[in-house]
Amino acid sequence: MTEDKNRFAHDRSPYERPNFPFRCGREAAFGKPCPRGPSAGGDCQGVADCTPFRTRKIVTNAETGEETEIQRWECRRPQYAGGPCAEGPRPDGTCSCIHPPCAPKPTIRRQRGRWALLAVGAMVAMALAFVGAAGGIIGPKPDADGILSHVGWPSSVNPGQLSGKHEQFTAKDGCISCHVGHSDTLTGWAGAIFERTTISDSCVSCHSFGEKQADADPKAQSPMAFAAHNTKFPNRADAPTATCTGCHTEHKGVDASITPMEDGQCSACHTTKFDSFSKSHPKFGANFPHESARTIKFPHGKHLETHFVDQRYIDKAPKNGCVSCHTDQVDGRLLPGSFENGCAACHELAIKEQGMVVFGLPELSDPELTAEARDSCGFPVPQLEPVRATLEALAEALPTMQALGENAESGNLNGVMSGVAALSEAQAAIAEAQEELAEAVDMSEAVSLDSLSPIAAFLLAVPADDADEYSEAAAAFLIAAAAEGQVPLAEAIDAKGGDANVLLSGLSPELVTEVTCAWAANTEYEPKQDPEPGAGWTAQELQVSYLPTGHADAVTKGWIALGLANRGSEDEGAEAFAKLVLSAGDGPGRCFKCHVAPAADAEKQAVQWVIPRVDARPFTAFNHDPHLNVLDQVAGCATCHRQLEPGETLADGQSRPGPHANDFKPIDQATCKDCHRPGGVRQDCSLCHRYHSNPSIRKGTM
Amino acid sequence: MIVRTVNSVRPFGYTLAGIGAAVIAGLAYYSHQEHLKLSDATFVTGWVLLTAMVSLALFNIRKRLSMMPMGRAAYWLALHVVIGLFAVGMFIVHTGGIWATGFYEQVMAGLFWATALSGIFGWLYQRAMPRRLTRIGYEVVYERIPAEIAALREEAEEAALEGVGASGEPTLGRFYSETMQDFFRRPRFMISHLLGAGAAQQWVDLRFRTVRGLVGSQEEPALARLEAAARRKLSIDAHYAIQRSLKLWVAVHVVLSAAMLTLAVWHLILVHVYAR
Repeated sequence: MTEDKNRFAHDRSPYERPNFPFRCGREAAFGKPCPRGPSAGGDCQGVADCTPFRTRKIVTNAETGEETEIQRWECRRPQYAGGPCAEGPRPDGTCSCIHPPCAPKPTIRRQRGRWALLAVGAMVAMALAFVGAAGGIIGPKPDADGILSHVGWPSSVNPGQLSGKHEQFTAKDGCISCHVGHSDTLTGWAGAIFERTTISDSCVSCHSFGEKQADADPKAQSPMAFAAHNTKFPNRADAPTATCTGCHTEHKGVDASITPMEDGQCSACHTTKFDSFSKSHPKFGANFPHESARTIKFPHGKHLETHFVDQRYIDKAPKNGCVSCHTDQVDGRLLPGSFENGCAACHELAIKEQGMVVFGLPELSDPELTAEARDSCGFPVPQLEPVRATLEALAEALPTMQALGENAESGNLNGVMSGVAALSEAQAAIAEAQEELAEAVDMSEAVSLDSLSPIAAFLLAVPADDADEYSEAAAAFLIAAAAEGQVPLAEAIDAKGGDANVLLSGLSPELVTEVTCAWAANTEYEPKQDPEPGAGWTAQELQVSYLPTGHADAVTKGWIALGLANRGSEDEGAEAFAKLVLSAGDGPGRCFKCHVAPAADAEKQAVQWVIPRVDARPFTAFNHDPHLNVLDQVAGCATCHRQLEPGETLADGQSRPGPHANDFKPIDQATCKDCHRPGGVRQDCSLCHRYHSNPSIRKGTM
Repeated sequence: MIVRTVNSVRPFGYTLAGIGAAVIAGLAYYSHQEHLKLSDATFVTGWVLLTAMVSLALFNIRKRLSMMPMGRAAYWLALHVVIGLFAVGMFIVHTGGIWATGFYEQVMAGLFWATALSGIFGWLYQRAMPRRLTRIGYEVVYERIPAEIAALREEAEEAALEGVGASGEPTLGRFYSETMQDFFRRPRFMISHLLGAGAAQQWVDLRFRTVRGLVGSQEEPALARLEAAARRKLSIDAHYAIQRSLKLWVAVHVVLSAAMLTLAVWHLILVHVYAR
């Protein structure tokens, strides 16, 4: 066979186009195709080779001139199929070249269209089917047993599983827990397409960042929730805002972290730009990380270099270095452990001995007041009776003496005899009265204190050392105490704003009465045994005292709180009282040898008794754990925490060895950069800094 | 003599590619800046990506409306290729990666990459295969191949009968019916032709080398005629294999595109329901 260049000429081959939807069934089987091919609808047109055409011809008879119409069927088989056939059409006009029909086949183009439609249908079906599989348009909801049975199922709505912390978050309301724009109805769902909402609004219905109203009104939204660093800069009107979803992208899988932050995101707002920590991070603060106010004053140097090497206490010194005391790990910080585990061995006894005199029994200026007090205890009042008896005896004796003189002048011996007898009786009465008077004189040397205790003076609002001023109030107090025990004391405390239930916790009313009445009896109270340290309420001689039962004693803390509450008050005795409970000494103020008292001008007059577990630097985080393995083998913690040398001065002028001063050098940034550098440990901002301030979960969320 | 013509499509394609790369770089920068500002650019990048994908689909319409003066198809192809590559870049900018986490998004990402890879494969394939077709030294329209094969089959049968008639020996008739008839029935050695291997050629060579020693001089003209038909059949088979593969990859690409666009529309609806 020689290649014929013209074999596809129009009269030698049918016209083929690639966009025909069907092709001849015989051709599809690589047989000889029929010349006509299938129709556009896919029907076989090759049963007949052609559709004969009827022609009409008028023939005129030359002889008669008659015209006759002649109709003939002509074959129209195309040239490329062989041209008109020899048989020609049948008389009825049908083609005489008949073949059995074929089953036309779709072309690749047609099949492609069908598959494309099928793919579209499959995707739509898949989308709809997996909407239902994942719990519908509102997502997973709990079944009757409260179990989220659809969580993790393939879904055509859910773009990915929620992170672990939010995984069960949709248990109650499904997707609308966050996506509030749509409801659980199809129309509401579709309507959400045109409703613009902010998902972040849903976040702050559970999360709060130190806003004061957050817990009070769970639905309240604070603009500070979206302000840069939240409430850290409440007064910055120009603080930029951000949405939660700007950083926290959900639906990235159960194990996905939704809290990563890039350095560039910090630099977008922060005006101080720097390339990296190791290259150009701003210098740490002058005393970093010790610049914030401390709650416990602990002179490390004094302990380490003086007490812990003293042979008297060496057996109580910590054996494992810093971690002997710094045992509590909180957010990566190593905080001192409890008092009992670290300090009690040396300091507990001193605490139990730091008693305070709550009230003493003073001398009163007016004996009448003393007498009333004595009377209130049921004792006789002897002071005036002997004088009266003596005077009565003298008064009775005077007429007898006058009559005796007159009888002697007149010589009336009988009268003299009876007068002498009467004088003898009067002498006996006078002698008896003199004895009673002598006893009364002894009573006038009162067994009492020279002044009121500062606490009693404060509670009674009288000067402690002026008997004329305090006697009346003190007498009333003591008379009431003798009768009612600690009741008048409790009333006085309540009047000053204290909580008597706390401040007088454990005080026996009998003890108060007994002490008061012993004083009324002009005697000193003698306890059955001498009070031991930490005994609580005790009385001895003319004082009622309190000895703390141990560290963190509630009664002592209560009296200190009362002192702080009345700090700066101009009430009588308030200053002395505050001095007693706040100044380091033998009383409650001894607490402040270690604990830090609030400054006199501080807005909040309260003692921060425990080391706060919440970091005072909410934007700085440091985890000790990963650093422990890279410490210098000899220096240990001192690799970073280096003590000041004696006489060395801090940048702010603070020098050692101030008793309560910080005695550590600031952390040297170069130490950090030994590891946190390019090619070393990561040094991105979020490693050490936190974006949010005081992040917490609102009450009622869980 | 090789005549080189100035290809005006290539500068057009390069210009488009440059514009596309610049737009991607700009949008990537914009997206990153929005990310740094704790904002979100995915709505913008998503709409750009969807626009690009719809534009790609318009190429198919251009082919359907070939009667309209819409510019040369070569320019459209260049535009299609550049926008396709642009869409790949935008997909990475939009998603921030190459894969997704959710079920339907993973299906959509899989379809996107399958579409993109099939497109890239097809682009390279259709640049390589026409040269192979040219080297065959024979031209035939794909749709005419069945008729060509049928004609060759008739030619081969006539040659076999001619050989039998000329010699009175059944050798050539048996050779055709037992060996070559199946070869002429339909295209053969598809994979070999696709890979450009010589398996089909060797098969035909071996068969005719064998039979040539068995026929007499009267049969030789018929045998030569039969061999010519067989060798023409090899060329047609190669055309069929290559042209069919060129059509099939387009079919795969279009079907994948349709599925991906459907899910993209679904994704668009979901985004506007949930993510605003």
